[in-house]
Amino acid sequence: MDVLDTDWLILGGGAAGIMAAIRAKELCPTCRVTVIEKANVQRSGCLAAGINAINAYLNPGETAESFLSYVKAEFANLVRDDLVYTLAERLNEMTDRLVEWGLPVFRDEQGRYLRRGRASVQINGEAIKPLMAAALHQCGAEVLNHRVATDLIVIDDRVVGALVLNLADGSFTAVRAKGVLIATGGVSGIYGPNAGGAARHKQWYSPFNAGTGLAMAARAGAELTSLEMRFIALRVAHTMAPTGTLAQGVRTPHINRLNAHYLNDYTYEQVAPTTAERLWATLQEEKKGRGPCYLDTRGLTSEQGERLQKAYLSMCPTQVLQWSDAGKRPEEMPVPITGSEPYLVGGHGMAGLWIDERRRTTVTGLYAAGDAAGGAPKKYVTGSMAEGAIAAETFFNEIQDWREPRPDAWQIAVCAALQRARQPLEPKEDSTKGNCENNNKSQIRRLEEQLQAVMDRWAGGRPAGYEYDAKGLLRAQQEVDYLIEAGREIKASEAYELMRVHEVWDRLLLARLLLAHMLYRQESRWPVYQSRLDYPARDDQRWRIFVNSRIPAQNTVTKIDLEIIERPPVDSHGRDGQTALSSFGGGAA
Amino acid sequence: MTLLINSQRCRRCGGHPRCADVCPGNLLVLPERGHIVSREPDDCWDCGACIKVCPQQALAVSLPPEAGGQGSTLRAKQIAGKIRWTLEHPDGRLETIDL
Ligand SMILES: Cc1cc2nc3c(=O)[nH]c(=O)nc-3n(C[C@H](O)[C@H](O)[C@H](O)COP(=O)(O)OP(=O)(O)OC[C@H]3O[C@@H](n4cnc5c(N)ncnc54)[C@H](O)[C@@H]3O)c2cc1C
Ligand code: SF4
Ligand code: SF4
Repeated sequence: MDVLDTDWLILGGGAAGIMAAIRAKELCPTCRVTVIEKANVQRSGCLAAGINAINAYLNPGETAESFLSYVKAEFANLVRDDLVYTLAERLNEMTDRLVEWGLPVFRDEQGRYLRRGRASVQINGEAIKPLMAAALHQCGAEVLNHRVATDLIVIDDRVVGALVLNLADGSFTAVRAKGVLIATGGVSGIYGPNAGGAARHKQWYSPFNAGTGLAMAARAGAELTSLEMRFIALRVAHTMAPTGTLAQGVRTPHINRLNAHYLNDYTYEQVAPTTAERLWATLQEEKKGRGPCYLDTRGLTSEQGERLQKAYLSMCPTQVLQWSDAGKRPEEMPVPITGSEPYLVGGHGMAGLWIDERRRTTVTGLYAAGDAAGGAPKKYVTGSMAEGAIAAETFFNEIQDWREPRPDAWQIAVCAALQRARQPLEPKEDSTKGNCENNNKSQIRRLEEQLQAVMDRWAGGRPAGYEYDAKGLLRAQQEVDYLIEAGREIKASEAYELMRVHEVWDRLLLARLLLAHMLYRQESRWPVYQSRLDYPARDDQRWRIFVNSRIPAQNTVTKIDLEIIERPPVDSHGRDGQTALSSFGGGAA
Repeated sequence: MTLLINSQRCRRCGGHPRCADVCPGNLLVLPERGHIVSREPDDCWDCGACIKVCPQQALAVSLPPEAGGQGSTLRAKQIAGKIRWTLEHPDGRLETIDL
């Protein structure tokens, strides 16, 4: 097997990973920086289709402090202040970098970036990912596309590299590194999509971000936080297209089936509804039989309609098909909206790896940034980039602590990782291969759909109105445990299938962790996102804490044994890393 | 099945398929002979990445019936760094939109 040596190993070439590579090369041009990307950095991850706003930016008058207050108010006063604050300080630098790389922006009369909402600016982001990829190639980092990271290589509780599957030929490479960054994005596919069949991947979040980075870090003993705060998006029904362009961009009102403006019929914690409360109000209307709800585009001019069409082509082309399939122009037909399936996504919500202010996980040598990192919601593209940059800076501060792993220990650790990763592979000489391939594919698919059915039904999926209770969660735990067992028998005959088996395994593991989190938090803190039938009220006295989980490292192969840890909130944002580090001292429960 | 492949138009990109290279889900493969195929047509995210790089306009997206699709399709062509989209309405009417 090939061994590749590098200094800074980045798993995932999205917003966070690309910035982590560029920053590393700025700090140390002679260092080896390697990006492992499962697809091609050109169009991989969340940004594949493009976007049309930078959703985290400090407009004139805003500060890192005011950004933090805004995020806290949106998330029931429980976020990691230190993380939100330190990324907020870098948001405008990241936006300027994107513009420098060629991202087209709109400007107001004073030449400032055109404001779209309190913390967002309007852009033309169809090519945001290719522009980032060009900057990445320019910086001189080594980029390995179509390579899937499957496992971390761990020696004496320290991460020393990762095992990587080459999709082109099925070979594995062991990459030895002084520091490893998890930048593989969030997790979709734990719950069933809104529509099935040929529309099963008409999801909002990338169906290809399977949570592999979270799963491999969990298996290496890293702590995860706030999984119970699932993110559920208010999106266009059927296409799952983002709605910000309509609601914020052209300020279309929310209406129900009876044409009534329903948002004002509800009371909210503050005057204006939060993102979660808007979703909640919409679901209430559906429950009361006044759905579907819409964003009413009918007051727009034809010129605005044309601009909307272009905006969606630059971000979610199928939205344009929805209008033409209905035989209508955008300004002639209100756009139906509804809730997506739940995701675990640290860029929008709270779920992800538990990190300190300097973006270190709880395992030495392992860092995390972007959608894979928890505790700092509403970071989006620029916040993810900021975290990548901070992680790179921390890595170079600590590089002198690194010790070359002993060759024998390295061998053993690589073999252990390889054995797990290759386990689903069938013996090569199998003569029934042709048939097998199809059979494998449908078994992989079936297992994934079984998981989704269990979660949808018992663990607050969309069909259950996103609500759940202990009884259902316990039932789900039992069934997921069974599926994990059954999943060990699934086979793969080539590299792509092997990747798919790992994706389902990772989703199963994360579902199991998620259920433990959901069961542990005995209150309802975040409307819709975390809402219990058996504990319907919010309880600040007891539950203004982070719920974390961890798999004791020795228990990863056989039974999943996990421990829940409570962490107190960090209501300060010290600039020296000490504040966040001390929060690691919370007691186990 | 939301990605539409026009087998007549695909010229295989000299054995290095551009569409397959950019697909975020690694869904497209070029067999030894013939045109590009999707491993799992239902797994397409409809991101449009493949459509925008195909030099032959051999690829298009449509909404599946499960998502209310009525047969409209979208194709794209790169012209001097800009994208020209062609939207075909269910009645066959063509509309071009330049970005
Ligand atoms: C549809 C959509 C629209 C959005 N719109 C906006 C917007 O308008 N404005 C805004 O500011 N934000 C927006 N966001 C949020 C923003 O895109 C994300 O927060 C940001 O991209 C997260 O960066 P990331 O690097 O963590 O994840 P990603 O950018 O998704 O990158 C993760 C990368 O890891 C790779 N990967 C995954 N697993 C592996 C593995 N095992 N091995 C190797 N590589 C792997 C993936 O292929 C991917 O390239 C949007 C998100 C979505 C899904
Ligand atoms: S539209 Fe996107 S997900 Fe679908 S095949 Fe093309 S590149 Fe892949
Ligand atoms: S990019 Fe177009 S021509 Fe090239 S292989 Fe793909 S479909 Fe065929």
